Amino acid sequence: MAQNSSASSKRDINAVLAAHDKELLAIPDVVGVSVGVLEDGRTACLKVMLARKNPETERKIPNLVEGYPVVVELTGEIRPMSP
Amino acid sequence: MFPINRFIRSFFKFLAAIVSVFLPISAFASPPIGVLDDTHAAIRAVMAVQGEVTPDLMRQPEILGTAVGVDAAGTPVLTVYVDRDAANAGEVIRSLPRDVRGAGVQVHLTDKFRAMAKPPWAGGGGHSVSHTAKQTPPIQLGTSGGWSKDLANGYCCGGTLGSLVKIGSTQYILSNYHVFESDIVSGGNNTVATTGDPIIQPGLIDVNCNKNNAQTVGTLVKKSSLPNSNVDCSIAQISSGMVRTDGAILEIGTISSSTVSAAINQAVKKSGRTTGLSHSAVSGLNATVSVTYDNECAGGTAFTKTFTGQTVIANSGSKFLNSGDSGSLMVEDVATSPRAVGLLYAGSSTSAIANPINQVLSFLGATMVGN
Repeated sequence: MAQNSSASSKRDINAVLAAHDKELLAIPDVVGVSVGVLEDGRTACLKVMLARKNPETERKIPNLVEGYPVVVELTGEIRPMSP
Repeated sequence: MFPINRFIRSFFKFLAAIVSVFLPISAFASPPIGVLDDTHAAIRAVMAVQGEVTPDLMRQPEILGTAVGVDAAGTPVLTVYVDRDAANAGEVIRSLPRDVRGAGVQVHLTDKFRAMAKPPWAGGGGHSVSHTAKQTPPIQLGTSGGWSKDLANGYCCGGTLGSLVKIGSTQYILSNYHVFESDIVSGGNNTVATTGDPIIQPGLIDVNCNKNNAQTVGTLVKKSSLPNSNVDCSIAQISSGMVRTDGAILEIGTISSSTVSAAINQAVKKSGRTTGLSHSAVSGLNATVSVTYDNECAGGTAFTKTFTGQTVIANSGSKFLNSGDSGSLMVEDVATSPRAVGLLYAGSSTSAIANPINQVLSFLGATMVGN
């Protein structure tokens, strides 16, 4: 059943984020997770913010969460502006 | 909070570079340096080239700025500042042309311009409004400011007096917790931030760490929003006659008293101490982000806070938000009476983070001052 679930059966992406943000932030070097859109400007996705480039970390980040694509962005540490 | 010493160091390094360029000219070239101002034909020619190529160059995060300089022979050239810490600085330098339409290109490796994203020597900005100068009261917001005692461990700190809010009929300057009241240990200055402490304009970082060169524009009302709440905010009750009671913000003007929620790709702007008036677009919503705070200016780690429901804004090369812009109000990018969207407080060189303004206002029990 899970294999033929349609887009309409997906939960709201904000609920998906709320359900998974802690586990994503528990991955080393992940400093944030947000709701965004893909470059097509309309497909909702989860954006994972990474403090530093680390292939090992990137392998731990899923490509899909509850049917939503996950995009990894190399942001660096998020610091108070100013330090 | 933003420590100044690093800035002073890079400024003097920069000054040394300038002196090394100018010394040979002053020693050997016949025309005095003063002649090479912006009325000089050769300077104007390079300025024209600079205006043309700077926007493209600045798209590369490794390129920190451009200026019109002179080479060792005294000929005006286009100077390009490249981040010495960039991993691919060599590659960036190799990709630069030797000359552009007859103007020579000269590379300067430099530290990041941490204190000013648009340093006065970089040129090309065209901003005539200073966000760091001491203003004649009543002051406009979007200007340098901070806690009058924000000096510890050999550094002084500060941020932006971002906007004006009211609680009942009393008006307050809105900024960040970490700009006004994050000194929570006696530590390096034997004091902690306390309600009633003066809030000054400009901040200590812009008056050589000497509060006597600044003016008191408000008194701190400690709110202790962090570490327990989900907002990084603090307020200062305005001193009579010292702050525009219409809440005008430099280069933005008066805003709307109503607010608007952030949306993906929404065009936004802000007015802040370091990058002045800058524009960008919302790139992420409902963000969960972890931010680490110091316990005083240049102090140790106080705590790491995980915020939820935050707004993410594109910040390529820190052009929208940089150190010292903390406390700026983010508004929708419309010409008249923009509505507030968020309170800017954190970020990196790719992303800026704002508290949704409604969360801030409900934490404070406040409304924006505006039309």
